[in-house]
Amino acid sequence: MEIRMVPMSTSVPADSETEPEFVMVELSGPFDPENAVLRRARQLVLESGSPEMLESFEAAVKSGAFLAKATED
Amino acid sequence: MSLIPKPRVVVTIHGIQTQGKWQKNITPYLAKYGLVPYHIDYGWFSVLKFLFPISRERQLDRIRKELRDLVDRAGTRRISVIAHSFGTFLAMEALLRENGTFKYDRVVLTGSIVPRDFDWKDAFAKRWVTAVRNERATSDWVVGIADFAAHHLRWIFWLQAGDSGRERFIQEAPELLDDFVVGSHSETHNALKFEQWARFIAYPLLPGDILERVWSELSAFRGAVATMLGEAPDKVRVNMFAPIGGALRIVPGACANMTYAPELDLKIELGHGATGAAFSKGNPCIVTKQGEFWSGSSLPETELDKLNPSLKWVIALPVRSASRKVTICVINVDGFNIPEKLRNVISQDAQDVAIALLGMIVPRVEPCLEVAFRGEYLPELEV
Repeated sequence: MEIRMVPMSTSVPADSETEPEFVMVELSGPFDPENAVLRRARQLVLESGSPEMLESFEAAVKSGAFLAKATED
Repeated sequence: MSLIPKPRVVVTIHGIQTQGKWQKNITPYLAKYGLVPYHIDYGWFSVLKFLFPISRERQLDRIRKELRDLVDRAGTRRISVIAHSFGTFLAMEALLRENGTFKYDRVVLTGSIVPRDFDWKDAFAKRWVTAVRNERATSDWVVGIADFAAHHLRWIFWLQAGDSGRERFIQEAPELLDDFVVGSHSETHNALKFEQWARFIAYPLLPGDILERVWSELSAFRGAVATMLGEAPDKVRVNMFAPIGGALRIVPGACANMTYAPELDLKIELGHGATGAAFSKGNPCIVTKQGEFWSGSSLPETELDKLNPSLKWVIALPVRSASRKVTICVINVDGFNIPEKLRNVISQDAQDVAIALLGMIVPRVEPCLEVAFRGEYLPELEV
């Protein structure tokens, strides 16, 4: 599974040193529950302090449902 | 340019040997959800007229013209339909023969005589129909007669019909919903069903019980996001955009901490801004405001003017239907101070935040929206 940031700002030239301010988080390839981004994201969810949100996140990772587009591509 | 959302017209079509009393009875249920009823009344139509091809075709031509006129006058190409018996034949034949002149949003068939091998998948693929509820009655002998006439006496009646009001359609699809009652041809016409059909047609507007649940989830989400990003809860907001009236709009009531009134009227086209891009691409989008301007935003000025001037960042999270494999709405989290993790939107931190938020909210909201899509009710808490 690949997760990459795609700049969406048309006003920022490709060779510009200006940081883009509009990006898309593109998910592609077969779903991988062990992906490093997912591991770091889980850590962030833990920081929310909400057991319900952690439960949701784990359910989403388990089913791959929230990254459905990645699995369909 | 019109800022008024397209009206959501619901056409009702009655069957033979009736004047469609149910059409009048269903009106308040539709009105409750802001739907505009349009009752087609073609008078008492006898069995003989129904069986006789010339009178049947003449009636079909009249309905096609009436529907063409209706969409022209109402300024919308997509209408919803509730039809009974011969009305189901008229509705679906009109759709096929018009070949896209007008389309149906949500369709409720009751006592249906549409052939059971109707190609729904083709209709969904062409986007001629968004979703269908087929309301069957297990002892409906009337549709059995239509089926018999169509299959065994076709050389006399030239009728393309079936008994889908008694037996399920052959094709299966997540957009093709099936329900039944034990009873006869008109048994589905009762107040409980009227409420359910109105809920089904009103989608993505959410009925009170589902809206309450969604609002509660969005509010809890807002609190969790604020904690995660180290922001004060009153500086973080959440809202849900769905296709309403031909554009993405905030689902009425499905937002938390949205106190700037002009934003509630935002109208976003597909592909425009973070919300439109998230919906059309099916991927999360992040946008921040540096200085006075939104970088790379393709929102027109009329919509940019509606944004709260204090707004500084938005993360747009697409919610996909697990069963239909389509994006059904976008949940936006936004706020008034750019959190540390979003200072550089192309950073690993920002990416991790977007993925975390997606996983947190989608499983909590998607099941509620699927229940609403079907016009059903959330399961009650059992103790």
